[in-house]
Amino acid sequence: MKPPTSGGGVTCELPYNGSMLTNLLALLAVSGPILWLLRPHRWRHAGWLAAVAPAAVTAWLLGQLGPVSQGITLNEHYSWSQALGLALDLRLDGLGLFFGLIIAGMGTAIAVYAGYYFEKASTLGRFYALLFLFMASMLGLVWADNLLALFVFWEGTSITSYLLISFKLTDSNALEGARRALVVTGIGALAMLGGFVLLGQMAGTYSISGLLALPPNTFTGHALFVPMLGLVLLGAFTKSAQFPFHFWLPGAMAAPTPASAYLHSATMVKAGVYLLARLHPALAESPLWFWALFSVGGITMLLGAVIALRHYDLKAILAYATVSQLGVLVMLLAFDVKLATVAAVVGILAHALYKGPLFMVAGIVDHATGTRDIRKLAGLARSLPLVGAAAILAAISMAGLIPTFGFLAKELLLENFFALIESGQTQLGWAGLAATVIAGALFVAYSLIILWEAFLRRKPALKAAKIEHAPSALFVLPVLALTLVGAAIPFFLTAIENTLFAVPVAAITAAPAELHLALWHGWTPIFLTSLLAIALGALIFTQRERVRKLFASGIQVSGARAFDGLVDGLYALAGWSTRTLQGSSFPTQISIPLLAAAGVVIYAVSLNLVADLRIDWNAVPTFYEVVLPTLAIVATLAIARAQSRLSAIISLGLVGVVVLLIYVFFSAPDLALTQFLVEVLTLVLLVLVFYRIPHHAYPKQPKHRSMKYLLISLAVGVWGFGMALVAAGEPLFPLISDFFSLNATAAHGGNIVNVILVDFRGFDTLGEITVMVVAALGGYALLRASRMRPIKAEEDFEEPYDA
Amino acid sequence: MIALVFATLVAVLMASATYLLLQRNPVRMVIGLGLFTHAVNLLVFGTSVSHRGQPPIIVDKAAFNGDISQFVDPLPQALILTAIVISFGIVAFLIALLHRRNSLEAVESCTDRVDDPFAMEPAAALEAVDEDYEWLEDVVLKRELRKPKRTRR
Repeated sequence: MKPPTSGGGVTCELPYNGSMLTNLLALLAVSGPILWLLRPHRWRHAGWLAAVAPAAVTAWLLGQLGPVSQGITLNEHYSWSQALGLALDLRLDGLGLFFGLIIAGMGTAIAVYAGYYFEKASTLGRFYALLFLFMASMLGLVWADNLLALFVFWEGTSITSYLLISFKLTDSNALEGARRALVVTGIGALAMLGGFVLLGQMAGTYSISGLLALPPNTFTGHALFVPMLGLVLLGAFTKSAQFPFHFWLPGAMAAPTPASAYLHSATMVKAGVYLLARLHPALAESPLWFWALFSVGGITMLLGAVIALRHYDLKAILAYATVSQLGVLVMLLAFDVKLATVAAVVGILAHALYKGPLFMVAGIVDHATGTRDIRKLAGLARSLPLVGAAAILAAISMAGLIPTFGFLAKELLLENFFALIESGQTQLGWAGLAATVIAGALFVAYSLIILWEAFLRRKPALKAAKIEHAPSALFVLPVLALTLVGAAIPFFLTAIENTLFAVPVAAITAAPAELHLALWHGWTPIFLTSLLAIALGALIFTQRERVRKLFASGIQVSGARAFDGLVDGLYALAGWSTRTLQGSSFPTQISIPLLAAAGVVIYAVSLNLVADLRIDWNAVPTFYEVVLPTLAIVATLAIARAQSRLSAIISLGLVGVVVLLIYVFFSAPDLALTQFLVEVLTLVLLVLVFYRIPHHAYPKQPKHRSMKYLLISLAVGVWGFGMALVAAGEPLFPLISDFFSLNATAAHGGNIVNVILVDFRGFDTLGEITVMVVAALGGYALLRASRMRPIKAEEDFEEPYDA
Repeated sequence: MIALVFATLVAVLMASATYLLLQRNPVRMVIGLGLFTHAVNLLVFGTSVSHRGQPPIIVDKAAFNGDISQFVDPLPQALILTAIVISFGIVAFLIALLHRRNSLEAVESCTDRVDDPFAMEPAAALEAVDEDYEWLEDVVLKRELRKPKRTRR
């Protein structure tokens, strides 16, 4: 896995013919199942072996930082389905590299961590297989340069996420959470696919780099811009757990903690953010984009931060904090200015580097004490010093205290709003600033709560959980490594700001970017605002019991419950329609399709199609051709009114004979012969069997029901009348019959009907024979079964499962 | 005019057939099905009645010169021929089914279980579906139970 030297043929002008990106995806996709086969749970330190593949990807990506920051991108193209515009195009540019580094880097730490987290549980292999498949999908998602390929990878992450949430198959909470996550993100993804198709139609290409090269008013000026934007945003918002779809993310916390830390905090939930960043150059000019992202992101930011305070489960607090942070990122991407983009990019990395480790700490705490309830925890910093150190480092970054990475992110966020106020949009700027300060204060509050209650205080609120087995240092190592990277970054800003951060910023704003980040700007209004947020947060922390009580007494609106209600309602609707349309009595079942067919004819009459019938009204029937049908009509009415069974059967025979004679008069000898045979057989069968069936006194139908059936029958009669008239008209299209007639001699037959049956349409006849065989077998089985009489119920019945 | 005669015949046949199919009496339902078959066959046959002609049989193949205007349309006939046979198969199967049902009803202990599902109210019919098969489970179960019992004896 050597990084290609930056000069070695990899330039933006020359086509790049390598397949490194594809190889890396394949490496990850394959190494998971291979690990599974190796049964990693047998080895204590299997995590280190598992980490080799993602570490290799990380190393290679780090090697690409230099070339990519000089504007060199790698492109790979594989044709997939040209007619659909679908191609497996991969492209490594600044944004893809930035996200790729987070995915692969976090993936390395998670792979090591999971090895110790599962601790010889035999499910470790399955976990690795899913985790690596996810990693490959996620990397494919951020590298895809084709909208449709991006969708495929997007769904790949949804499915692996579903399988990881429902990892513990016996846990019904996990299964429900997984279903919710899949349905919500799945609906969003389908909407997004619709949006992609619209986008592709507008641009004339599905290539992302191709459509980003077009002038933005190609999209914003298009008539279908609003539906397209709505659909794409629906996909991004569901995936990134934005209000009102945020509820699936806390439910996803039933996943094993390594998966939560990785998928549901650092990477997959950022896919929506990634999509917004990716399409930013094309769409961000639109005011609709701004208001949608700004309002949804802002609401999500506040809502997540508030709900987080209500919870006592470490993972639940972190989950809602993640929702809040995702809101911040979406809100930042609303702006079409460089400063907001820088804030978003820094925020993405900072969040991955503190939230991921905090989740992992929660996993270690759970592993060591058996609980994640902070009311039962206390003083973990003393008993687990390494874990405590990692937790403190990560939590002060989450709180945004100086001099952490989180502080830098928050400064940039605040700076963005100050710049907005200066630029004249005062109301908007102040509103954003106020919301950010409130959210920031809440961030501070629950960071302090986690730190104090779980790690620092001496006595817990409830009965303390004991540390059953302390984690090994190697278990904590990946967590500590990530937090240390996060803590170190602010001190090396000048070294990396123009590679790591400028590269994605340039990709999002579609303009070259040069950054000058600094931790300390002096006593600026920004810093003072930051201090205000911290002070407010500290205040909330001291009053936390009151705040919790306040929130607990508030109205509990649960999106999850609403969603479950929706799903249950859907089932109820399906049950209701099945019962009404199909489940009830036989008359209802056949009435519905018959009435629907009759309705079609009535509709046709209303369209005045009668004029188009083209019937030859002058074709005069002969005497018999009028008398015989009249006879049949009389016989039919006789059946309907028949009191005795035999008279009904005889009348049916009479109708059959009339039909037979009609066939004779209208030159269909084959039909007449067949009808004759069948008529005789049917009569014999009917008489034989019905003679043996005892008479039942069927209760008389109630009057209203008889009337209803009569009306249905009349409607069907009208339908038949209309159909027969249409059938008798001149054909609207040339008939295929002439072909059969002309070519019958070529098939060595004179009887054209027979030639059609056995030659031209031989397979139809085969089907007919099959039906007859099935009917014969069925009838035979039924008649044989008649000899098998049911045994009397109570007599010699024994408990079947007693032995 | 012929079209009108045909249409009237088809309409009466279909209406009566539907009325019979909607009845509770299974014998009438079978007869209704037979009538419906005639109706549909005549409906298809109606497409070929406006042009009269010879039966579509080429008597002298060697002398056939491609003049097909003398024949009636053979395709509806081919379709109906298939339909007649298939509907006979279905009617025959239904009759066998009725026979089977009848023989089950004749057994006293089962009459309360195998009820006429068509004679029920819609809501009750739903529950009846399960009950309809209970006897079958009992029968199969008891046959299975009986076998080892006999060998033991």
